[in-house]
Amino acid sequence: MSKEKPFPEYRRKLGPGWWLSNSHFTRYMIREWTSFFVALFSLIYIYEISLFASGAKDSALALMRNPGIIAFNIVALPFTLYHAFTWFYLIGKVQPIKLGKTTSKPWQALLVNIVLLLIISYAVIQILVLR
Amino acid sequence: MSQDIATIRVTRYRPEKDGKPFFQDYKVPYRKDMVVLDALNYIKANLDGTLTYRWSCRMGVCGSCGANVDGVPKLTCASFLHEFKGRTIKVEPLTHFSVIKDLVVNMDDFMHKLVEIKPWIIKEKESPPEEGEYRQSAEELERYAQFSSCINCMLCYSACPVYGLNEKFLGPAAIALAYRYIEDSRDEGKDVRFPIVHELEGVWECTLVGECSVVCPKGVDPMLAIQKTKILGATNALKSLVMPRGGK
Amino acid sequence: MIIGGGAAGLRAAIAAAELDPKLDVAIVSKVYPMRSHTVSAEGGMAAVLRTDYDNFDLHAYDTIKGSDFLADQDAVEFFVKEAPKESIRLEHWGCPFSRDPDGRISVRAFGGMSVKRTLFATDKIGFHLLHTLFQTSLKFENIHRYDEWFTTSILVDNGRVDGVTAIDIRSGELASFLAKAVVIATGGCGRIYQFTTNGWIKTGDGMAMAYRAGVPLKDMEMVQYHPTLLPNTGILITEAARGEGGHLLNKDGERFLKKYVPNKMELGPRDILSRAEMTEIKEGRAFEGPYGSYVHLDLTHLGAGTIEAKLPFVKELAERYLGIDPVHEMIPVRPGQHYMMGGVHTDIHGYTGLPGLYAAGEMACVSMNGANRLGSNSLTECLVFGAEAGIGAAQYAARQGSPNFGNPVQGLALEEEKRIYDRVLKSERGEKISTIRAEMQKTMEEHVGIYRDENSLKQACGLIGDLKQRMKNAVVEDKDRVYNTDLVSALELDFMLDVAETIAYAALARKESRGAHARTDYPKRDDAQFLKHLVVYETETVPRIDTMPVSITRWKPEARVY
Repeated sequence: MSKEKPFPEYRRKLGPGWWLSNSHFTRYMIREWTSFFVALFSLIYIYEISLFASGAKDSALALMRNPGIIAFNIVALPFTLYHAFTWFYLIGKVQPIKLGKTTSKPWQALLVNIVLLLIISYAVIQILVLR
Repeated sequence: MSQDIATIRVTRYRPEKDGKPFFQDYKVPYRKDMVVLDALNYIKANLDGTLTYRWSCRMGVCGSCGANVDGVPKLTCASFLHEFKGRTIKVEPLTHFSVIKDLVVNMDDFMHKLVEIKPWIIKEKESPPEEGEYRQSAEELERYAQFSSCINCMLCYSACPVYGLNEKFLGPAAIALAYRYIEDSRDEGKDVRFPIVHELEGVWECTLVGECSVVCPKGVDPMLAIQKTKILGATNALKSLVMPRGGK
Repeated sequence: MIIGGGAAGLRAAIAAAELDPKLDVAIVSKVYPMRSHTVSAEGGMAAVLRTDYDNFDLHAYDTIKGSDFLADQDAVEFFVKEAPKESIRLEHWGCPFSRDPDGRISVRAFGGMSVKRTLFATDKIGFHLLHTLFQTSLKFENIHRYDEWFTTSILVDNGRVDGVTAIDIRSGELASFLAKAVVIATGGCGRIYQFTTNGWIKTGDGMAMAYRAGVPLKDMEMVQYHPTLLPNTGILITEAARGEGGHLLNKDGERFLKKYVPNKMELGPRDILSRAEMTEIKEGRAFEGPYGSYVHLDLTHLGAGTIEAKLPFVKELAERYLGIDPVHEMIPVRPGQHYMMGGVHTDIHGYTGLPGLYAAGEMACVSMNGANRLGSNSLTECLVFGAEAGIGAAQYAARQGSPNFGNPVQGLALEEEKRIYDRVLKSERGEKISTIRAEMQKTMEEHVGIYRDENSLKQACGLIGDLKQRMKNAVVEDKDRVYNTDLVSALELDFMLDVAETIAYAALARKESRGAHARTDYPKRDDAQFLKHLVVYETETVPRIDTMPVSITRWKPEARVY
């Protein structure tokens, strides 16, 4: 049985502006872009902590006072917050927590995640900064 | 019962006549309880017998009648005309698929992907029917039940930009179905299915757009299935790293 | 070669493929198999799994009594014995049945069944069954699919089947398939009626093709009306809604069934319930709405828990299509066409009597449903007799040499090509397909409905004869080849008219009331004259009616009281 197509099918391609067609897609794209700021911020942050760890406390503080770094932090803050928001929004849906036979609802999982975040943050501050 | 007039703007593509698609407008009288599919049927019966689309059950379960209604992938049998009151209703073929004619798209790709994920119970040996059913608890059923509700209507593919940009992506429905079998307590085929869903164009291609789960007309959450498969895969990889010999 | 990708067709394909891995099995279907109308079945499938309180004889008796004693009892006995095995196979293949706390498949009550024996997967058994079968069929490398191919005729040469002709809908080209054996499983023909639960694709194609190939259609006058359809759309509200405890109420809020089936109430058989609703309507105790009269289906006392766990699809349909929440509001319902008890005559193994041709599912008439089918028997029927037909065809094929594409088969194929492309497609001056279709549906609805009589049936026979003449000049508006649904609709309508005619003629010939066939001019069952099957043969002029005996093994006909 021949399967050749006597007439062409019409193929459509996504244009460069596809993510503007639907507000969900636009929000998704913004979330993807925030990753850039989150990554850059994380790198700078790790570098600062490593300076602290190696005892170069002054150069670490100098770096933190650098106007360029402050400006970057101001810009990165909303992006990071947005990223964190989407992360916590998704995590409750993607990884519900199982306790015995009941499965958590998204908001319950979200709550557990936030509580965990606070505990871990406190521990990190205790161990690394306030020791 | 009062009758209003809806303007339906339908994509026409007739490969024997047209080089590319165009829109055609039809005026359809409608009542409150009429859906977009009823309008298409009205057009076909009364205005233009050449209009071409798929449909059958008109109760949201056969999965034939998907189209982009006002830019959103929907079952035309479940989209009511009155919701668009006063506006022209645009009905286009599902996106990311090539168009055979008018609203009819080519779904060969999904049919191949469906076979790829081996959507059947894999068992070393099927027990004879005389021995009775395999027992399954309500909780075990619950683990995969929603993913077995996929009607293969292709709305999730139409909504997925990842699939739009890379046709090789296994896609929401196929992965949801793979996960449905992976989570089925009767199935023993995880080792066979894992490599398939974790391939380069499998679950890791998904970047959590989440639109698949928004458009699904049957309440299936393919995004969840994909992320769960990722987690299963990651824990499995970790386990085999820690216990290279037979940690399961 | 299997025509049809629903429950019976897929089950036949799997049976044939399993029996002989060297055999090439083709499934030719006008839609992708998972679109087949099996998908819409809701309530469940019957099989004796609970042997602590149930047994084969009880299932057989319920089925035979339900059939108003027109069922062939040897077929029913075979069916009830095979039913549990087939259900367990389906479970093994992955069907997500609802479960009891101990992990066994749950069972629910259903109309006409004296105990709980209907297996279910919430209220979407048809959907799950179809997808399970389809996905399981993908496992077999010797099953080849021809999706969206529309079969137009069965090629018969020298008294045996040599294959079929089919249109590849996508390209619009007609091709001949040569096959050693053919199983037809194309389902029912509800679309000959105006108000039906059946999907658009249910156009009796296989019934008409077999009829044209000389095989008789049996019990065609037996058309089942389901008592609970949504009044505007004909969408089915499953019998499981009553199985789970739902009530039917008239406008006085009275459970009117106590006057008709006092012992069974809402779990009475469908034919009696549909007529009860019609009587309530006729006697002014029904509601009046924009789509005619209706009664209420009350589920409010079941509670949100039961409705969401066991009837989620009912809730979804009522909410989406009527804006009604069945947890708090009543669902308006009225009776409408649902199922064909009749169909292509076959024996217990799906064999039609024409060498090489087998049939199964709704389009076949074994006959295990007689004059009225019990709800939830039909899906199991598709599995049991689908498997039988698949095995029968495979065994027959193994004994046969390959057919030749010489004359006269080639001539038949050319003739078919001329019929479709030179006559049906080219016709320029005539009526629209949709006009003739609407008139046929109106005729069947008005004259061959729940209640029938001599005058109106005679009118129907005449009207359908006229429509057949008008069909010869009907115009297909779409002249293209690629994906021409207008052409397919014309060929389907041509099939439907043949089937409609057999129903009208058979209904005229059965001068008694039995099961779903209710004659106002002959209101009583007449075992002396009509305890037999009517079979319809095609002739050059009007259909010829003949009879066949009913097989009675152990259950003598008795009054049918519920």
